[in-house]
Amino acid sequence: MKVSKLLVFTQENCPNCPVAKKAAEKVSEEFHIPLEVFDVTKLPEELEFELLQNQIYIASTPAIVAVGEDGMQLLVLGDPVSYEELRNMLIKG
Amino acid sequence: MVKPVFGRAEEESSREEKDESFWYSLMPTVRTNRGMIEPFNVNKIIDSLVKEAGVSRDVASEVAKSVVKRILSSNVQWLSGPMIREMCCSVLAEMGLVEARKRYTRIGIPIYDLNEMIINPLQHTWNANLQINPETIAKVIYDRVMTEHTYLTLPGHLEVNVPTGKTLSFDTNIADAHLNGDNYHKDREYTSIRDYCASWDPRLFVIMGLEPDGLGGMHSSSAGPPKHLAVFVNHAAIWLASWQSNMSGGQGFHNWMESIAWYLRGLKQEEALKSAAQLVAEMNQPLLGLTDELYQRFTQVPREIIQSIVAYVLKRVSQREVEQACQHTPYIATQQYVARGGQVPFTSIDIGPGIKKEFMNEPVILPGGKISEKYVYGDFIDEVKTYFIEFMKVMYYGDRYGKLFNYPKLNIELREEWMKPEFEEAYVWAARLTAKYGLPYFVNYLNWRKTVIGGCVSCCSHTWGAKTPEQVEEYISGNAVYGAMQMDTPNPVASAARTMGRDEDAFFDDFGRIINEVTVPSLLHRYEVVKRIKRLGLAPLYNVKRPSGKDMIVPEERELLIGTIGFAEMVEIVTGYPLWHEEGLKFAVKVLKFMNGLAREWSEETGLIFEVTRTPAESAAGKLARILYERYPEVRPYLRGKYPNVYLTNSVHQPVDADIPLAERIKKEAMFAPLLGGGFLQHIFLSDVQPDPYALWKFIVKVARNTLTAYFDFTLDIWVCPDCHAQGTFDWRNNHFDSPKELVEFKCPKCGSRRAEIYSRITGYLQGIKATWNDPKKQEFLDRRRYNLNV
Repeated sequence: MKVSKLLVFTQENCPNCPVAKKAAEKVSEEFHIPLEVFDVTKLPEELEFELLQNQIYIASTPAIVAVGEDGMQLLVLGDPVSYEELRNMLIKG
Repeated sequence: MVKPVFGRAEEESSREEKDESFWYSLMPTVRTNRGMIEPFNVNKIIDSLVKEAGVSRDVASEVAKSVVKRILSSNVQWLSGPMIREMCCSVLAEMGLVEARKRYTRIGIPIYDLNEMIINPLQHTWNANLQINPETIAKVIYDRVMTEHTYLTLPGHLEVNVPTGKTLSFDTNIADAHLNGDNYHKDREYTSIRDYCASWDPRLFVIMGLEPDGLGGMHSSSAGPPKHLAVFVNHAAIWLASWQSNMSGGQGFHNWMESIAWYLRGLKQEEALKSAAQLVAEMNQPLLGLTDELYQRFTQVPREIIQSIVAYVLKRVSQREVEQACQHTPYIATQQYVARGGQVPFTSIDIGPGIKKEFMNEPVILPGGKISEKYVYGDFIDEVKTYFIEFMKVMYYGDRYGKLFNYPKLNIELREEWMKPEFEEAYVWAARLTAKYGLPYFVNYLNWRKTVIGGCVSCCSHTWGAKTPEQVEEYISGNAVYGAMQMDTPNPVASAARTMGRDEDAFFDDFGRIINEVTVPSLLHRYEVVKRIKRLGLAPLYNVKRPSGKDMIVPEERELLIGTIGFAEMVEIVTGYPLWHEEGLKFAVKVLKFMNGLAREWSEETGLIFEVTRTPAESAAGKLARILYERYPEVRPYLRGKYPNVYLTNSVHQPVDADIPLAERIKKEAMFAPLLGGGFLQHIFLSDVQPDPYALWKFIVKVARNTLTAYFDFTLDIWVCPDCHAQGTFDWRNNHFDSPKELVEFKCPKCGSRRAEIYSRITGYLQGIKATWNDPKKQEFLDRRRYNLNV
C-alpha cells in the first residue's frame, strides 16, 4: 500500500508513546510522509468513525496507522516500536 | 359474632350496630385459603385492608361495608377469600384509590387460562428454551404469576443507596414504561428473586469442593475437591446446575483448560512410563496370582518389553478416561432437566487448544488449594491439546444417533499464542464441528482485543474482561466470578417514532429520558433486590465465601447492562438511510457513543458498573415490535416481518434480509463491537451444505484478524428426525416456506415424519424451531439471508 499519511495515537501516562512518536517522526521525515498526532482520549468524531469503518479501534497506545489509497492499515497497537521496526513495516508494506 | 369496629366511637348509634350485626348474621360462610370453612368476619377484611392496602381504618371500614352490601344483595351462597378480595379491589377502584387497589391485588390466573397452560404449555410462553414436560407447566404458570408480580411491584418511586454513598431517588412508573414498550426488562419473571448470569472459574470447586445448597452440605451433601478427571467433570456439571437454580441467565466456565490440565496428567508419556516402571518393580508372584510356570515365563520377558506393554495399556486406559470425560460433559449438559422449571441449565465453556500465555509459568493449583511445587500449567500443554481434540470429536460425532449436542455452548478462544502449526489440527477439528452443525462460537483475541486479560464470555453474548489489577489477580488465582445482574433494553425505535419528523436532538432527548428514567432505575431495582436476597439469606450460595474470602456474589461487582435492539429500524426512521449506508452507520455509532456516555456517567454517579451490550432479544424482538405496531402506526413500514409476526432486528445487526455481500455485512457489524463493552455476538448464516473445514478455518482466522469482531458464530440449519434418526443440513435450494405456519408443517425428508425438527441459532444458542421458537422469530428465520462461503 502506498502510504500517504501516518497517524500516531498517544495519551498521557503512556510509557511507550514518546519512543513510538519519535520513531514515527523520523520515518515521516525520511519517507516524506505527512504525520498527524492525536490524543486518543480526544479523537475527532469523523476520524473515529473512519477508523471503525476501516476496522481499526485504538484500544491501547501507542498506535500507528498508515493511510493509503486503499484505506487505513494498523501498524502498531499498544506495543513499543522502534524506528527500525516501523521503517521495516513501511518498506514491506 | 365478633363486634365489628368501623373506627367510630362506642357511644355512636347502638341501633345501627344492631342492624349491622343482623346483616352480618345473614352472610354466607367463607372458604378460606387456609383450606377451611369459617364464619364471615368483617374485621378480617378491615384488618387486611389496613395492613395490605395501606388505607386508614375508616376507609377500610367503608370498603368493607360496601362489600357486605354487595354480597347480601347478590344472594351468593358461599364466599371465598379471592372473591371477597376481588370485590374489595372493585370498591377501591371505584373510590379512586388506584395505588391501594394495586397493593391489594391478588395475582392469579383465570381458571380457563390455567387449564390451557396445563394442556398446552408451550403456547403460553415465548421462551425458546422450554420443552414439553411437567416441570415446564409449573414454569409457565410461575412465569405468568411472577411477571405480573414484577409489573405490580416495580416501583413508581425508587430510592436506592449506591456505593458512592449517595441516595438516588427516581419517580417514574417503570412498570408502565415496560408495558408501553419503551424499555424491555429482561427475565422479568425472575426480577424479584434472583441474580442474572455468571462465568465461573472451575478452580473454585477444585479448591473448595462442592456443596450445592450453600449451607455446608446440610441439605444436600458435602463433596471434597475432585481428585480424578471423572469427578472433576461431575463437579463441574453440578456446579453449573446448582448455580442455574439460583440465577436466571446462562452459567459458564472460564479457565476451563487450565483447571482441567492437572487432571489430564495421566496422558503424559513420561508419567505413564514412570507408573509402568513402578508397577513392574512391584510385581511379584503372589501379587499377580501367577502359577510357578507362568511366573517363570513372565520373568523371561525382557523388562523393557514389559514396561512398554504396561505403559501402552496405561496410556490407552487414560486416553479412554479422557474420551469418557469428554463424552460425559455434553451428555450431562443436555440431559439434566433440573433448572428453572424443567430446562437443562444454560451452560457454556470457554476453551482453547492450549494453555493461555498468562498461565504458562503459573504453578498449578491442586485439589484443596495447595500450590504445586512440581507443576506449572505450561507443563500440560500437550495434554490439553489432546483433550481439546477429543472434546471436539465427541461433539462432532454427536449423541447415540449422531444428533448435535446444543449444550454446553463451546466458546472457542482464538489467541495469538495458539496461532502456530502445532495447534492447527486442533483448531481444524473446531472448524469441522462448525461445518457439520454450526455449533461453536469463536471468541476473538486476535485484533484490538489482544490486550484483554481475564477475558471470558457467558450467557447469550456477554463478554467480560478484568478491569483492575485485583481482578487480574482473581483471574489467575481461580477466584474470578464475572457476570451481570440485570439487562434492560431501552427501545430506540419508540423514541424514533415519537420524534419522527423532528431533528436528531429531539431523538436524543427522548431516548436519553428513557435510559435515565426507566432503564437505569429498572437496573438499580434489581441491584436492590439482589442486596435484599443476600441480606435475608434467600439464596445461600450467594453468601458462600470464595477461597479469597470474598462472597460468591458481590452486588457491586455485577454488571448492569444497557441493551441494544432495533438499531436498523431506528436509524432508518431518524436518518432515512438503511443501517448499511454510511449515514446510517454514522448515526448508529453516534447513538452507541451516546449510550456509552450515559453508562459512564451512571457508573461514576453510583460506583456500580454500567455497560452497553447486545440484547439477545429472542422474546423482545417480537414483543416490542408488536407494541410499536399498535402504538405507532406510522412506524409499521419500518418493522420487519408481516403482522402479526412483526419483529425488530437484533441489537446493532444489519437486518437479516439485507441484500449486502457477506464481507460487507461482517465488517459493518464488527465495527460496532468496540462500542459494546458488555458484549456483541455476530452471526454468519450459512447456506453451504458442508463447507470444507480447512478452508473454513482459514476464513475464521481471516475474519478474526481483519475485522473488529469480538465474538462470532456460523449458523447452519440442521434437520433431525426422532423417528428414523436421519439428519442433515437444511438445503434451502429445495425448501421454501411462505409462513411460520408452513414451517411447522416440515416433514422428515427421509421417512416423512411430522416430528422432524429443525435446529438453528435463535440468538445465542441452538434450539428446535418448530417446538420452541415464537412466531416472530420463526418469521425472522424465514427472512434470513444465508451465504455460501464457497470454501
